[in-house]
Amino acid sequence: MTTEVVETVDLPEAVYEELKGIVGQDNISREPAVLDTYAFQYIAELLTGHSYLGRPCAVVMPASTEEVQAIVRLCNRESIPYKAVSTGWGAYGGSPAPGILQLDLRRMNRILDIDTDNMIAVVEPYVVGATLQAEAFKLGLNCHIVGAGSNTSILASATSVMGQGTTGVSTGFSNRNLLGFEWVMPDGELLRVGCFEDSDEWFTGDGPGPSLRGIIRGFAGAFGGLGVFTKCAVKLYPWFGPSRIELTGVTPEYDVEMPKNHIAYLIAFPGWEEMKEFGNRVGEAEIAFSMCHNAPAPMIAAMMESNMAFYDLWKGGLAEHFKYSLEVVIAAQSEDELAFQEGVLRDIIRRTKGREIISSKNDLRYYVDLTLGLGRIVRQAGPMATLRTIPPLAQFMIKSLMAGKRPSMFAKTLYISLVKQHLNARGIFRFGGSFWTSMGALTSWDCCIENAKEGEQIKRKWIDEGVLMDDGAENAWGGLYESGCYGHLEELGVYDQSDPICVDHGIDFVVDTVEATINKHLAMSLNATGDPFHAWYSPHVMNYHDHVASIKEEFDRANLSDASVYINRSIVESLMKMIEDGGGNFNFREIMDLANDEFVQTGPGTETEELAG
Amino acid sequence: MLGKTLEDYEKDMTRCARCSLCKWPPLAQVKSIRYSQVCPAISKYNFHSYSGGGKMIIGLSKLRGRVDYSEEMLNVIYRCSVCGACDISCKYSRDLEPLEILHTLRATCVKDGVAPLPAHRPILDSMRNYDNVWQQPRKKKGSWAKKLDVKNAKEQPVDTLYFAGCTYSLRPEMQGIARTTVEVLQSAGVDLGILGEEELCCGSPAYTIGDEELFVENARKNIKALNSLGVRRVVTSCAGCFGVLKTKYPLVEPANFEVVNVTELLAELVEQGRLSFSRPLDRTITYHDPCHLGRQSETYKPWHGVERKVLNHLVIQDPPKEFNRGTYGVYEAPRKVLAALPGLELTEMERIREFSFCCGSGGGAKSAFPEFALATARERVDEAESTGAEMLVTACPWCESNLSEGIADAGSRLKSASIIELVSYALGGGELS
Repeated sequence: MTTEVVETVDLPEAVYEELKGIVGQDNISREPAVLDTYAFQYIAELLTGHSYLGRPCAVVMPASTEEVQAIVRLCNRESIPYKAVSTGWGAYGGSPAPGILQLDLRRMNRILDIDTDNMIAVVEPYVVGATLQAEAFKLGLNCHIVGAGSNTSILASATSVMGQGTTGVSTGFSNRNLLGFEWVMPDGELLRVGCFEDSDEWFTGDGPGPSLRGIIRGFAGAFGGLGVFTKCAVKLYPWFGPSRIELTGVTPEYDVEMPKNHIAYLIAFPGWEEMKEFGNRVGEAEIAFSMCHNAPAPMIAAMMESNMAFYDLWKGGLAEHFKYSLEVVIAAQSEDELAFQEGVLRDIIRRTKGREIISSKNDLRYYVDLTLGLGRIVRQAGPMATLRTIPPLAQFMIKSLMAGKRPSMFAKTLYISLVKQHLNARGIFRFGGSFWTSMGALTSWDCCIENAKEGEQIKRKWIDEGVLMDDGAENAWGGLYESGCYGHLEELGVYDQSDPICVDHGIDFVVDTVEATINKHLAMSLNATGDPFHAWYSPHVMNYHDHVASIKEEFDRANLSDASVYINRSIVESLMKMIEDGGGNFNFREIMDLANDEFVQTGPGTETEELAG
Repeated sequence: MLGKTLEDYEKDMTRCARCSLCKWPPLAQVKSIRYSQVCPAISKYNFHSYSGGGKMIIGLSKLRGRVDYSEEMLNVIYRCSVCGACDISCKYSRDLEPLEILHTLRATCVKDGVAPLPAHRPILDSMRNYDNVWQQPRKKKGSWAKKLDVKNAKEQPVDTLYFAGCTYSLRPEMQGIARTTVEVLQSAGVDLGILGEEELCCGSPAYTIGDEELFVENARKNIKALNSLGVRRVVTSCAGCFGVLKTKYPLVEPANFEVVNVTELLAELVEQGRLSFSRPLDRTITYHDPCHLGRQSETYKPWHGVERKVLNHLVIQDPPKEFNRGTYGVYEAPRKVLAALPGLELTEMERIREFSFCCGSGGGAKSAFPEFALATARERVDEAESTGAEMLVTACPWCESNLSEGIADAGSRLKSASIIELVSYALGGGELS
């Protein structure tokens, strides 16, 4: 085993002592073994070629806004770059450059208020989806949880990073749910936004008082590049379910007592067009609590207890059977409403040539539907296609039954997964160890479908090259938001972070998808974060980097709030010049490496010189 | 797992997604923010390094030569009760082995000569010198049974051997439980014997601290001695002994006896109608699942295969590996026994069964970091109190002892008890505090 060389930056002793005075001796560490647990990050290998980002100079765990302010002010005084994390999942929680001061906000973990009248929750950074939802359920409310899972911070998603989730059709998008926030700005000043100026009443993100949602995050978020958010208020939604969803059984297979008037469905379609139509119609009808698309591979994986169990089922050729599908949950207030919603759903299924693959309602219906449905499938897809569908379906059914899994159990697993967002690691990380996303921004549902189609084609190439897992190529994840006003379908690529071919070429798949979004006029890539991507994208999108960089420059004049996943004007503009000088012919990987090297060399807190020469 | 090195787990460690699932119960089981944590170590110390995933990263950093041993690094590795909750939560979603890695990290520390910690040395020395963990002369090991009319399994053939364990044998405040166990089982007609002063330590502390050599030596001696008795089964009332006899001994040498916990045997006797309860308890209780009776009591199935990748990067094990995910721990037996007791109402805590919150005593935590063990017990006592129960019942001497300290430290109104005490009371014997 070769010894890895670790570049370190020492924190001056006097600064360390001062930080210790702020957070207390037990809440600061500069022990390399501790620091490495912050440098090690999901997808770090795509940025640095190995499992670690730069090692921080120290990690501190403040317990209050006042302590965060004191730390940030100290960083400004001593010119120390810093970055805060809540649950800290993803390379955007750290920096490729060594020597940042890492703020771990784990001790700020309180739900400060749940205002049932106004349906608002006020939370600190370490409150995660699972805990806020558990408390909200008790009060007949629910919160939006992002697709990453209910192990992630509500605040981080609302203020700083993306925000798509499986119940978005009824619970919106994190950006839109942000009603107010407390912000330790990059220089350490405190600003509270969206609440009455002189009271503790959190009210709205758009006033009274200034609305700065667009400034602090926009669509994607600043990924920790604009100071530290210490509290936020998020919108809650009605929950027409029990105060606690009771599970029975023992890990890894839990069964759930379906709440009254709740039904989960998996509905498959002959093709993308029918699926698109179904999504639009259900969105319009406003009947769904949850509606999203999980490709066959992650969906089946989420229901199986191991990779081996998944593989056994997958070999039967399930991909084609479930390929164009949407998962739908109805959560009605009453039996009458349930009957209405079910009726509408069935009508839309019929009109869009859908097939109800499974439902939580009962097993018998599944078998009856399947039998009666064969004729329909023959009519829709033709006899040959039907013949191709039957064997894998039969195999799936037999194997499932042999494994003790009734169809309704799958649907119940689906239900609890969509409501509680707890099976995401099983569904996507377990395969090879990691995954990365690519194209698929928030856009019209029609455009989402185009993204998915294109993503599948691009991914097939990288599967054939051996870089990505063969998940059937179609692995778009996403859904519709706010009753279908918009949606997203992001193309996921599964890889093994311990395999050199994946580490060396994983990013190439992302690059291809970005190029496709530019050349084919699809929505801006979900993954276009970081200076190299900004340099590529910005000229195509009204030179947005100029606006975003202006915000950073105005609010963070010392440029100390780590911007490794946000924006650095000088690096972006240097890269843009390189691209322009090359007449558009450039190797993105070289540009990315150059930008990374430059960022690491100059550090996140210093201005860089002209890169191109 | 025994004899493994960090190299053996490099891919597992690299494939940690740093998702933090190891910090919570399986997420669908989170019922409140108050009791949403499952890992005692990170609950107290907060740095990510204290989580199961954090320790996997430390293992990787050590393997790659990124870090050297330091006092703080050893503190992180050993401020952990090795309760395995992280393992269950991780393996709900992943095919990784956090607990095995954690153990291998400790074993590596011992092999490298930087562990055991000073506080652990007397325990391991005591095991070497006296065959018990309490630094007591060997002959004292049988004193608990002096007044009992019970067979010596070395001298007379018996169907079932009662393996009392060091704590029930040697701790004065615990010896009554061992005596009660024998009396109850005999009253149900179990042909029971004991080993008295010839009973050896099960070796569990050596295993959890990472001294594999000592553990294997201990296990071999025990397996040889127990095999020679010709008993059909060995019953333990210490969850620690049970866990190691049942799950780790098969890795050392084959045994010719079945290992059961006393709660399993009691449940069987209740079902057979061999115990009839006449005295109502009239109490509301809550039950704490000991880690080594619950999630860590699945027999390890040795797997000697290789990792294979299909579909380019789908990682599978060839031949298929049966992961221990806590599915088959002993959860139902104690509950069946409690349900059979008249006048007793069981009110469950939020964190139970495979995602039970540890009492804080295990893994050498109690001896090296008593403040951590106590804080963990306080957390569990708080949860027990929240149920409204009058009594916190468990089935492990280490849990009972540490939780009792937690109750005292908190000034709680709760009483602690062992299941066997409740059974004995319901049979008409003894009194409850």
